[in-house]
Amino acid sequence: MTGPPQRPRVAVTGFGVFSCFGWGAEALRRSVFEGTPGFRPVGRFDPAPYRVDRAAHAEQNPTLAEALATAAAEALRQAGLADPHRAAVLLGTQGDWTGLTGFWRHGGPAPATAVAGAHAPLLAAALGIEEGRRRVFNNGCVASAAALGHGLALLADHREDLVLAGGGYLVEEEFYAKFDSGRAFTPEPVMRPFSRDRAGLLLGDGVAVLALEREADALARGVQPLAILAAVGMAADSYHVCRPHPSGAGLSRAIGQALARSGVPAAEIGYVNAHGTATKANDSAETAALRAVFGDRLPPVSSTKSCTGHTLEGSGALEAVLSLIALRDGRLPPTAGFTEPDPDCPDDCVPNEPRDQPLRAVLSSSSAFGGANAALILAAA
Amino acid sequence: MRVRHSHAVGPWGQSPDLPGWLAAGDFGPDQPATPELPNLIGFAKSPFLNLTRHTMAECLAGWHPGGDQPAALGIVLASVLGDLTSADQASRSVAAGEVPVPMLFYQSVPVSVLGRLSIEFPLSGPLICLSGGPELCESALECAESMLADDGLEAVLVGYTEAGQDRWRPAAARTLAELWGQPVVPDWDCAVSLLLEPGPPATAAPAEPAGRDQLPAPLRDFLGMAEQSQISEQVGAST
Repeated sequence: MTGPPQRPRVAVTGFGVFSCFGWGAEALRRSVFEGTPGFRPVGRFDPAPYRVDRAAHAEQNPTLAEALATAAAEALRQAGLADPHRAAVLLGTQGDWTGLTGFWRHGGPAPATAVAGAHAPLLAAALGIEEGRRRVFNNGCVASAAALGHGLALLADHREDLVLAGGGYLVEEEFYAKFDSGRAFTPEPVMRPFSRDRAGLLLGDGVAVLALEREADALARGVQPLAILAAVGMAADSYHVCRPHPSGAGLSRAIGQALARSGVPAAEIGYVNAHGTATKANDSAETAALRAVFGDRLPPVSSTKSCTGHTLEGSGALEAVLSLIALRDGRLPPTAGFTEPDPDCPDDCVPNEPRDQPLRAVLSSSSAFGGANAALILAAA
Repeated sequence: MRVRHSHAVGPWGQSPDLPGWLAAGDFGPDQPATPELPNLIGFAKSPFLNLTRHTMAECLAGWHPGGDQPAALGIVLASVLGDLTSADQASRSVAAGEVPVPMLFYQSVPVSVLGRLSIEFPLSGPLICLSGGPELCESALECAESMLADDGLEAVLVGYTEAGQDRWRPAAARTLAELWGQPVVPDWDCAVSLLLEPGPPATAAPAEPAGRDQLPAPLRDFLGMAEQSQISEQVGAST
């Protein structure tokens, strides 16, 4: 059973991505599901002022607007909806801050793409979509999960018939500098989520857009859903501005809400794609949240950020795509770079090697500054 | 949804002065300075954060859900440009080849100030931030409506803030006016917060007085909601 009976089920019918592995979901799948990290020396700007000089950025260097447009076009193509007249465009992003850096370095006009809210109308225009809601969520690392949750609500309530939801972040100097200042980066060349010696995160490119529609509508036009977006839950920690509650209070509430709303029994969740930022505080708090919900029946948990880096506002959508691929292929992506277990982290974090396992439903979790948390459940169609 | 409380700070001063300022109809760029508010402890100085916290806290101060658990209240913060002061400070550092001060790490996203509020009161609902154009108020209200319907919340706090005076603001305002075909950012700092509860509106929406079309649409819409609430609260207090 997947979804409360009184509301229509919402299907994912297409997706497109850009990541540190380049264009397309296949490049992402090939690397992440083999546990190949994408970290490299930063080449997009001079990292000399900073403590760390690595990130998971692609060889290609598209603008955020270009990456969003390409990913969204791919999602529509896959959904068989090449030229929609109307669609809601819901994105999670802070905007393209290379424009802000350029403004303060060189002056000139302010580029619209530096403002988060400009990206939804710009994307709609790039795709020729004339009508529908345009919304940009910029609540940090839960932003694109929030966009997906809002899209689910709009479709379930019949306020929209087609939603493009996702988001993105591309490695640039502004956020790199702030995360360096906050000492969030690991000095190691890779991230080691859930390892006892984990020391922090590295940033990564991540843009993903998903096409959502009601399952019945997709089936009626002969399109087989890729998965059901069963629920998204969100809740706050009420604890600290930049540290998670040690018990994972907000995240466990968000997961509980998502489970209750989806109708998916906890025992049916076969895999958790964790936020897993490889910081001491996050990984143990997240584990506490998962243990509070699942008890001693915690399913395998992995952090694909060990391969993609932390893609900030893009992470909720990118990890939704990775969760969907896991569900579709019956294969768990590993936690790469794993060294030794930490009793405060999951017993089974799919260390270093992928694993074949049939799945009926998966959970993806995200957390952000301010103690904001999101949990997303995808179920087999 | 109905507005339980509202609070607004801007060139008019504080909320009680808002109806008079709106009635005067002078919305030009030469306005009295927006009141300066105490700096938020633990944050680098930012009028955006101070205004957001102040207006939201004023709404929450009169709201007593009871119980010792965090209240099931969500927050939606809407802003076209976001926290310009924090962003500009970090950008200047980067442009100068310097590392920004550590507080700008968590001030890099507007959700941090919502987390601060969720601790102060305390609150357990979703924390949402939105950026957009002329329909920003409508977007925020629809998000709030969904949250009340789907998340089982007791209330949703919806806020709107534009603040920070640096040369990025007029440059960005010009660019966005071209994009949207109308101005979407006021010249001055201001914030409006609305505490929304389930239920029908307390009063019918008034016809929009002439002259208000000079105001950028997001601000005009939020001020209209706050004005309605102020009138309702004054009527309630006098009966």
